[in-house]
Amino acid sequence: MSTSTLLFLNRWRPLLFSLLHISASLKNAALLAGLFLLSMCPGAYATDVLDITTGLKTLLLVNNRQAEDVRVAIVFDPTNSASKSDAETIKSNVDHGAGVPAGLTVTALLVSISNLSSLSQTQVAFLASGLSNADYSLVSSAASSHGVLTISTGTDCVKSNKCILGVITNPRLEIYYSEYAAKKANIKFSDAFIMLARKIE
Amino acid sequence: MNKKCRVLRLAATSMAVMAAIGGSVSAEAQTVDYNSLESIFREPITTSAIGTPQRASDVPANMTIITADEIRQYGSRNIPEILRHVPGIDVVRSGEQSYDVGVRGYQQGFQPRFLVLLNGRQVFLDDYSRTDWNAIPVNIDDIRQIEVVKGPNAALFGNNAVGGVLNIITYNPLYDKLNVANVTTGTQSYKEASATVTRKLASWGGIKVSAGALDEDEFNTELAGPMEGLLKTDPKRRFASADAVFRLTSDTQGELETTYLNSKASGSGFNGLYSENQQEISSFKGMLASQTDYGTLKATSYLNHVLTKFSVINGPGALGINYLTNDLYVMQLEDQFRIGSAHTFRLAAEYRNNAFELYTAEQTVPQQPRISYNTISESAMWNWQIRENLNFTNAVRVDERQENAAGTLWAGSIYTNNDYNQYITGLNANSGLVLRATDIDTFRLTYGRGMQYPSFNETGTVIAASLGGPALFAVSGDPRLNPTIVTNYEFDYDREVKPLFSSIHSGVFYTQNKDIKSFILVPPTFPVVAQITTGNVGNSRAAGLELGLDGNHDGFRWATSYSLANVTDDPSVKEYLHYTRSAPQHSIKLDLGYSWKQWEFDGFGYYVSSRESLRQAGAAIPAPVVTTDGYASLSGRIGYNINDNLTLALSGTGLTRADTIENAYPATQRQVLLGLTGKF
Repeated sequence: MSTSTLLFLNRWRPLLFSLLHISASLKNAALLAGLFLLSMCPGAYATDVLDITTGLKTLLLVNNRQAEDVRVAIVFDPTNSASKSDAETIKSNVDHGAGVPAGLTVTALLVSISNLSSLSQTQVAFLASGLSNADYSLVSSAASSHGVLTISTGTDCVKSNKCILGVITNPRLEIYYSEYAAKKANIKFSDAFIMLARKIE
Repeated sequence: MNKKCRVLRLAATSMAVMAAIGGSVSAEAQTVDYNSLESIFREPITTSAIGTPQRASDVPANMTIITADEIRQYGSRNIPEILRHVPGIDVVRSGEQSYDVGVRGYQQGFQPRFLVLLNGRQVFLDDYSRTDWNAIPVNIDDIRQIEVVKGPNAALFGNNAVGGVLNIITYNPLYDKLNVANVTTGTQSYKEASATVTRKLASWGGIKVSAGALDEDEFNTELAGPMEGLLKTDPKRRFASADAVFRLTSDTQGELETTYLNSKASGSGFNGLYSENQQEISSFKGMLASQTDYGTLKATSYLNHVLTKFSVINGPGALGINYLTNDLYVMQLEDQFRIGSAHTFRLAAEYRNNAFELYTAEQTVPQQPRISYNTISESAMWNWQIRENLNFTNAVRVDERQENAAGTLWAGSIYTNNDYNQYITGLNANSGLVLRATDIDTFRLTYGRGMQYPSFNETGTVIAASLGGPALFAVSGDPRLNPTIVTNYEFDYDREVKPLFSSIHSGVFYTQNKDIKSFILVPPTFPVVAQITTGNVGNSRAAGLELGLDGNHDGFRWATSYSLANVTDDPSVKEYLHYTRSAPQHSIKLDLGYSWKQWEFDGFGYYVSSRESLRQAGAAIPAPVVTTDGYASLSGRIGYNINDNLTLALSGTGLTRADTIENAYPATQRQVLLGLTGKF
């Protein structure tokens, strides 16, 4: 679902909620409820350059970061064309330097959710859109054992404590932080950054 | 229990409480990496509002952050001229390097209500309760941002933060690479050179060294008499500073800093007098911060040693020269931690020792007694993220101040030894509710209560000078003075106007000042024939509003504001201090700028309405009031980037006329500067 559609839903959430109450059709009510919930809790959405920039810049605030050269795994679902397309867009941007902060040299590689073995060779896992909750669990399990920083757009993955960071850049830039996931991966951020992020319980 | 034990008891209790609560742990302790954080969150980051890092859009206070880019574009080489751009701030210039900066209607020479800090260390001077803007050991090019908070913020910053707080933040050698040098020349024989060099020490530290020198001629405008001509001096400033920040472990950072400054300038003094001030100031600061299971613990300690030579006209044909030393020692302990995802806390304790020695050239009797204050403060801050768009902050600070006097009172003293044994307690509080109602609308409701304690000059000055024969003229501070209590209520509303690439800022405030202090005349007792002392003379109130619009797009930038401050004094306050109309009631400001290729063009115009200020050339109590008409002024800068490392800039102030009468002090003159800045 595109960012603009999500924004539209977010703005009209009160109206949607009213429609839910007055709708006599269960089928319509279920549809509206789904749209309402979706607008309340944005999942991962298509990744733009600002999302990439924001996510990669958080590396600068990882206290025990060792290297200036960073390998980023872009995790996607090969059976989902939107997910594959989003992953390829992210890789293309990174390869052309778009969104890469100064002071870091970033190499991106596409990693299928069905084969996460190469995560061990990376420092960051950037989750493309279109992944499911089960996929988040797979990534979390593979990433945390190798100290890989997991970043997704939206809040689904981070609120389930499967990703360390969730990035939202529209309408207001917010970064959500899972202390549980960070501890599991032995990733430590500066306390100033944690004070500014939205911490997940 | 002695005072130091009480401080340690507080720290230990805090840690035990946190262990009991099982407070969640924040990550590594670090000095703040502003550059990276601002780059991520795309807006300025500050710690000046609540003591913990916050996004500028979230602060529960009326705060303006002036960025390094804005400082460069304004073209000013001193901080007061930069502050002129801020709505609600009144800047009065009484000499080339002599300024008073007032907030929301309250203005006076030796401004006591605006606390000024440099990276959290006080550079405000407690001797006469003032800031000497020529005596701040900082290179303008080394400033990352200037944070201006209007209204009382004493719960976080303490004494004298009753009108507002200014925190100057410089670059951090641990995170920032800054190597810059500047030479500037201009009218009034202006000559300035300054440089800042940083070096990283592998991955474990960084060191920064700054130095600067300034010489220029004082304005060649009319003084109030020949005696003031003896006080007029050409400004000078020399300073050097060194700052080292290092990582002891991945969880612990430390910092050591030292500064030295020597300066002189002439301009406004207290009570409408014209004065010459020479300062020699040195400071030493140490800081240790560490992540622990009880949160981020931080200990800071600093010592400011100030030697001031203050020359003023005491009476007809009488020049008074005072030598005053002030040693300020401060030790602070704090703990920042989060509980859950919604609650952030900061607990702090502070011990402060302030000691003064006064010697007056014409002193007939020795300065007795010698005065010092011990102050212990405990503070707590709680920030509650009620919802993602609703934030509630509360802070409280309790001060316990003990005045001490050493030595024997002189025979003519109107006070007793017991009068100098004063113990004062004070309560400071700040509360703020911030609601981001929509993506573009933010509301702030804030309350502040601050204590302004008496300065050394107000409580401990003893000057007794001969008038010929047995007759004496005496000035004594009153050690029994009550502190002034300032309370502020404020409502602010900000709105983004995306079609105009702008933001609107608006606010209304109401401020009450209780028990204002002033010098007063009292009936003398022979051989004293003229006796001046201090007293609490009454109350004052101010109400006002601020409106502003600022934005930028496609190389253009703009900011405009209107501010209104209406002050009402009790009759005795009006008689002695005349705060009513001490600052202009109306103020309009406009900044316009444009960047094009290697060029930067910036202009600043402002209009202020009339003011009435104290002004005298003797030792009159109360001082006469002089009215200055409203006026408009224009300043600007043209900058040209010769290459990536070199910038040439032409700037000027007071461009519309040769002389500008800003206030009751000597007129200021048009000034044009040409500067070359190199980064390497």
